[in-house]
Amino acid sequence: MPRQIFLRLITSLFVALWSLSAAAQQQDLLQAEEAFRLTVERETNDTIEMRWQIEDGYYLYRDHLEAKNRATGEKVALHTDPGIVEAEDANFGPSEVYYLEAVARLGADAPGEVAITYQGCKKDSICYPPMTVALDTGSLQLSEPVVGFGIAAPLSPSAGNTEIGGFTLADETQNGGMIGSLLAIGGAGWVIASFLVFGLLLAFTPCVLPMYPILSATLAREGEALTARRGFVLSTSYVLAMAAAFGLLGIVAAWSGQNLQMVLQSPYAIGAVSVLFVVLAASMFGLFELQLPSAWVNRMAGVTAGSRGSVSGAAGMGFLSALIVGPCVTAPLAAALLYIAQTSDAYLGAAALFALGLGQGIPLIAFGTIGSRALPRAGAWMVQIKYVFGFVFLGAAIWMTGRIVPPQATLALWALLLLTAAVFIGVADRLTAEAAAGPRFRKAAGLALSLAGVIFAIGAASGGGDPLRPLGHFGAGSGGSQQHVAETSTTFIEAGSMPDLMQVISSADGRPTFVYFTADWCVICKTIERDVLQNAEIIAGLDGFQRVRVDLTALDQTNQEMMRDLAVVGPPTMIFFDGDSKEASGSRLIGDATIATLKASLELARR
Amino acid sequence: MQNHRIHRTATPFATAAWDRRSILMGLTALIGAGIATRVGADDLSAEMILNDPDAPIGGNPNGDLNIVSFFDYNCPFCKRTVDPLSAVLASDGNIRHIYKDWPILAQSSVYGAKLALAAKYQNRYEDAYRALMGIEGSRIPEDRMRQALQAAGFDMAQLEADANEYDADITTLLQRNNAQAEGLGLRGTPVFLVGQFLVASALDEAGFRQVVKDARDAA
Repeated sequence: MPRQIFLRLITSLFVALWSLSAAAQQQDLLQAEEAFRLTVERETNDTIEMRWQIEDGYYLYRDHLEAKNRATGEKVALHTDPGIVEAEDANFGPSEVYYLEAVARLGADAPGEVAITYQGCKKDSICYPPMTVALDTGSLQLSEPVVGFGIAAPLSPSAGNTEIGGFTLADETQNGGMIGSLLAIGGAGWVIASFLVFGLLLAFTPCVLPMYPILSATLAREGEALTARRGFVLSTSYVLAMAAAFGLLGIVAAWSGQNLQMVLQSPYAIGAVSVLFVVLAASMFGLFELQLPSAWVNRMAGVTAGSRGSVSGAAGMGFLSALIVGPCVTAPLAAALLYIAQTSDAYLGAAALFALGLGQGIPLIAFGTIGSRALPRAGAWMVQIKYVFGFVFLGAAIWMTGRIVPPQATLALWALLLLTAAVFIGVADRLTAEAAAGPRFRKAAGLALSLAGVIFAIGAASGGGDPLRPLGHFGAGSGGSQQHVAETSTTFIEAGSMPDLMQVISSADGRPTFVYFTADWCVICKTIERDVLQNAEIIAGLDGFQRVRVDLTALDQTNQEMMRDLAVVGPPTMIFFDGDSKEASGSRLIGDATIATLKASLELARR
Repeated sequence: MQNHRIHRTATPFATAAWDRRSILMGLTALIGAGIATRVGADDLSAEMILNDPDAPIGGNPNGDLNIVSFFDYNCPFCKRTVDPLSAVLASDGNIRHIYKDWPILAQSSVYGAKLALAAKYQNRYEDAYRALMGIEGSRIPEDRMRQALQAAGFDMAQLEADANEYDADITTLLQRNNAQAEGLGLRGTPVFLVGQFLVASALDEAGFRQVVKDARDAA
């Protein structure tokens, strides 16, 4: 249509005109880089002076001059002189600005790489977007200025403001957190040393305890070749691999933003590890020697004593233990992952995690070395020891499977294991009249195990699922124990998604809110739920709180959103919002919680 | 995410990594496909600058002269031009005013622009625009923007719900505005396109009248 073409012509003419007039009109309007020219110089007292030459008629804002640590994103002190108070407009209040020249100084303690941001205007004309340059404080090299604050990500948050929707997170979840402060105290070395100590402190928590039987069973596979030296080598490779797995967590977190431990709690990974444990148990019972070609046996179980195979076997076990067997979110682990997420400094974060893993493993190495020396070596004993650890592997397999199968099935498996163990001890062997004390005790132990096995079986068959109280469900109806009364009185609202949670928080109406992240596979969570949340004092303390539970057993998109928005790395994490929907500062509990710490946090939120 | 996108702010774990990742992915996409995938060539046409169906229109929608303003809610000079320009629009009665929210001066500018454009879905864009432009100074915190909108009679919960519901459209419009401004070689805010003239300064009432007259004479 001619009219359309005409319109098009007209409009493109307009653009041409505008562009022409843009050039003409803006001819006297400098590019920001030309209007504000920055040079840096080191002064005699090691401070760094930044000097902006400002074209006539242009100005820089004093309070928009900013320096940040490029590595951590933290603010760096910048010393500026007072500027001129310029009334930009009678109606719009004065601001302090610099004409012709602006000077700012960085102290001698400035970090290696500093990002400097500045912003200015041409008087009565336009204001320029902020410009940021990177300054290497060693070589005093300046990068080209980057204009803007990143319109590419217009949704990204403004710094320093931690409000999300209807609630506010505490400050300490920001700005590099624990690592940031450690870094400020003593640099990277201090961070790593601290994490080694944190690891040691965590070495006897439920996170690490399952690793002791697994390591001993791994060592017991060595059989007669096991010496203290050999035990040391094997447990060290176990621990190094465990520490490496922790470091890997950090790198994966930096790369994908996810906690690998949680991703690996899939039925497939757990199933595979359980099968592996069963295979290892079978090799301990000597079943492979009967059924499988020896090459298979060597490869799968690394039976050949002294081979490199068993070292890498131990290492593989350490790796699996850290990632799949005992996934534990602890405060230092969370701190390191948050630090990586905030600063993208994966190296320091991963190094800190490696140190944490090493710290957790040092007692394991001691245990493995001393234990190897203590284990009896020769003769028929060895067979017995291997049987014992065969059962340890089977137990570990059942314990793992418990995360993915119903509790009744797990209880039934425990029953089966106990009965089998009883048979191995010799419950079915005939006891002659002239038997000595030893065999008699064994028979008694076997009977006790079979009794336990039968009780478990009855429990499982009647719908029970708690191995510690297999018949507990029988008494539940009639008042039962104190624990059960407690359980029914601490109720939680389940929140499956961010909107769910927002709704609960927005209906708080002045009440504080307690948000508890848990998962079926979380070992510590079980302990907390049994020993801490059931405590009478805690139940009383939680009264008046809105109680929200977030179940992370199945990690999906909506769960991940909640974790992201609440800065949660994994279960168990407890967050406490006060009556104004603000997270109480210093109240967050990550990892193991005790009655005392939980009470203290509840107190903080109640205030 | 839908429900609270607008005031999502620094949430550490993952957010930082997340945002960085999405930026990286965005950059890769741009390198791979060329900017044309994001901003169609037509978006930069005068037609789209003048008649973007999503851009708010003020003054007389059927006026014989177009004034396109590129502005930012943290820009003091922009704020200074609000009253003179509306006086000229009112007395002239035949000028069509096209609003181009161009949030470039600070992070909170984006926040303000999104809320203002959300108000368009309640047919109250200009109320929000005036409320936000009426806040003194530069670098306005998000809280003060919220207060100003509340004082102007907005139901913040509703406004934020709208901002979230239409977030994709609003973001696309902001990106289009940005592409247009860059296409025109604009360096900062405010800029006014008056007829075929481009004015990059804070005009007073007499200044606006003069440019309007020149533009009509030249047409």
